[in-house]
Amino acid sequence: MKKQNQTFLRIFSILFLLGFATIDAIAQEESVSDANSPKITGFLETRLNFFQKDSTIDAFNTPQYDKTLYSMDSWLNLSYANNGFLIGLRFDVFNNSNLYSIRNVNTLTGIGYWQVQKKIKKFDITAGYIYDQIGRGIIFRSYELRSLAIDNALVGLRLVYDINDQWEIKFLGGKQKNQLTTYNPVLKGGSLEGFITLNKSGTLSIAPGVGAMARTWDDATVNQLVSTVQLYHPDDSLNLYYNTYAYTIYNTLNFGNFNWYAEASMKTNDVLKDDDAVTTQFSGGTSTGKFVDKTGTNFYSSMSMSLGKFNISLEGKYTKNFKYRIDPFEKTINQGSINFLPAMSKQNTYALKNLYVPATQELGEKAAQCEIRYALNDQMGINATGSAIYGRLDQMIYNETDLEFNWNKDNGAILNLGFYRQFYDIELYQGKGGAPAVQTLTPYAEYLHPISDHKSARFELSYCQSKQGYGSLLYGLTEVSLDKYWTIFASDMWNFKPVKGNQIHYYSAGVFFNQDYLRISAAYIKQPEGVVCTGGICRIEPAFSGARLTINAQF
Amino acid sequence: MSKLIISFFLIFVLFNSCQKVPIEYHLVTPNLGARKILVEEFTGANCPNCPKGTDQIKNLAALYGENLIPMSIHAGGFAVKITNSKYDFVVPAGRDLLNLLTPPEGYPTAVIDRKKFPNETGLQLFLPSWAGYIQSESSILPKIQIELTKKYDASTRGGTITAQLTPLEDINIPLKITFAILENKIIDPQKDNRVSGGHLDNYEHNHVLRAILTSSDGDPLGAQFTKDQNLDVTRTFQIPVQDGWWNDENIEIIAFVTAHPLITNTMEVWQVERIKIKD
Repeated sequence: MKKQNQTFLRIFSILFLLGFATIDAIAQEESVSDANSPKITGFLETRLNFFQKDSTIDAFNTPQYDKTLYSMDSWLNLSYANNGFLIGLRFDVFNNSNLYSIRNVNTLTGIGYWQVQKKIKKFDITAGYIYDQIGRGIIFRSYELRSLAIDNALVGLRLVYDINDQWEIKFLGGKQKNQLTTYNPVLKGGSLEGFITLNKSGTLSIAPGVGAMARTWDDATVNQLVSTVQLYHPDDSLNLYYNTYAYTIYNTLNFGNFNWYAEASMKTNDVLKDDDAVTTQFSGGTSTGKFVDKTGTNFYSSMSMSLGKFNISLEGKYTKNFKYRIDPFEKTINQGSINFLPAMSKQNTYALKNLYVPATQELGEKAAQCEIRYALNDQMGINATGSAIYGRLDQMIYNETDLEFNWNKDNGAILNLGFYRQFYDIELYQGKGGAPAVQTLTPYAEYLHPISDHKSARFELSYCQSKQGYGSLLYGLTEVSLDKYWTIFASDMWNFKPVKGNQIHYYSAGVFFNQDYLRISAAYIKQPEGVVCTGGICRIEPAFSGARLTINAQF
Repeated sequence: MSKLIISFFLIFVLFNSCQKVPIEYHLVTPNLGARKILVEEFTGANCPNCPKGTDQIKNLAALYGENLIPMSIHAGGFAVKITNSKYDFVVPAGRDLLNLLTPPEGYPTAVIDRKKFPNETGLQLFLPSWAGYIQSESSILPKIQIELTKKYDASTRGGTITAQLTPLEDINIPLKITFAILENKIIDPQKDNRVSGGHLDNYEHNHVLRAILTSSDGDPLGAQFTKDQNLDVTRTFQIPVQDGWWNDENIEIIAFVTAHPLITNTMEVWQVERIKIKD
């Protein structure tokens, strides 16, 4: 891998030099053909953490608090475009990082991404690290989500051919990225997608597609798997296959203001880690947790429509054994997923509405959510959201309802008032055996007050009443934009009625600096350990106490 | 139109090439050799997932018999007393081992022979990996043999433990030895998310680390060992008198030889042995 990186760096350097030479040579022609001009752009994201031990919030007993006291995660993206070529490169730096492994020190530096893309008439070739998906990602999605330590790019080749204006065929194959290396199993797949207008006015159209994604295990993975399952009790024996295939068929129907997406997917026999499967013990009796071989199915549908002052969206999902992993042992929680199952809960922004977020249940879930927005007038609206998720045993594991009133005044003032209610099976989602399900009632308010140009003040206040989980909390935030560039904030999350232990304040304060190309933030932060989720994918975020500096720059 | 037909044909070919190739394997019972394996399980009374791991170790122990030596270490965030707990299982040596072997990402977790296996992020391993790694460890030929003898006076509750180390080849690597006292059959509450209520009042805790007779990371043995030239290492111990536990009928002592981490950059266990203090 190191050699590969060095080789690529040499190639990239040469291309860059050629690029600069070309820039100079054709600079005079820039006004004539700007689109064909070579262009280099970049983006830097850097996060620095300075750890300060605080045993009252469990921010201790990790190498970062005990030894290193500092960590850095940084990504520098460079993109170069010239003569139809697109070249991308990303330099990743992890120093004493706990991003990928919350209990360990992770120090790695190297090329985390490179890509070369060229379109030759109807033929599009991409080589390197590829982020892509088929349909909604239910059988394949390679993407990067830094906050959750997800970067499962496909390292390989993608070929796309435009059959005609309506149809496109795509093939891709390679290995999945694993930080600065790759997993050994091989992925290959493809899709055929189209777009068909069904009436002359163009208001009725469909966008059908079919796709497949295959995974073939390597010998090392097979050997490790065999050495595990060959010791199983005969009652628990299972079939293993080198190859697993996932297929999907999907369509988007558009008719005026009505939009309907539907996708049906299936997966051939796969070895799944099932923590609830009953095992027969050689020592007598039974326990739970083993590998099983199962086929998988998934149905997903979403629709949205606009009816005058009403906007309605509905989503539903049925999942059965649709875990699709590159590594059956799931050595790390968020790495190694080949696919992505859309979440069926609301993406919340306010702090106390984000305490209990459900992770997608890949082995079994029936879920639906609905959002209705009613515009009272040009400035005011009401938003109502509800979702319900049932588990493998058809038991209710999550539901939420949210009623929110929004008022956007002409002078720029914004008022949001809401009431949020939640039911969360903490035993299932966080493995807290015997813990009662969390039920919360959370009224919340946000007000943005414009003072003058570039000057404003924003206030957030919410109260989470609960007798389970963290207990009851109060959250307040004040954020003041001083001018075009500077914003300061202070907040406190007060756990004033904890289920156990003493009252705790999680306070934070900081400053943001914003310029066209640069954003810097510095803050002193105390935050509890929690489960952080985006789109149904979750990561346990350790408690944090200390200072955090982030720098984002684009050029 | 012809292109579209070709495309459908290509997709058909792609789908049709999807044959499932079975992996042939047979259920086996492990071949037991001279190599014994140390499994250090991190747990806690407040850990609802941990009994699942303990069951798996018990299951594997039924296959490996005396060749699998478990040590149950109560340390970390879950190692606290819970409702109706009588005992606090946390001992300073357990905390030392947690720090030495690095706290885990989740539970159940265990460290097998203190080995960093390829493609693993650390020493701590999640349950699905245990059986495979234990099997691969058991197939390794040992480089050293341990024979334990003990002298124990039940009236004074004191004794000595001697490990006779026999190198099975010339060894030029610095090694360490650790002696640990474990206790079985301690009845005390344990959380268990597999049972109704998530809590068992009369859970039997086995192989619980009670004390370490050497430094927590082991005492140095030297760096030169000649084949078949025995080396005896002796430590004394005293079993305290405490209500309900420290029952000498249930006490066992384990000894294990490890690589010296500062010099070899690994803490791998080379061999392990155990003995009950009362026959």
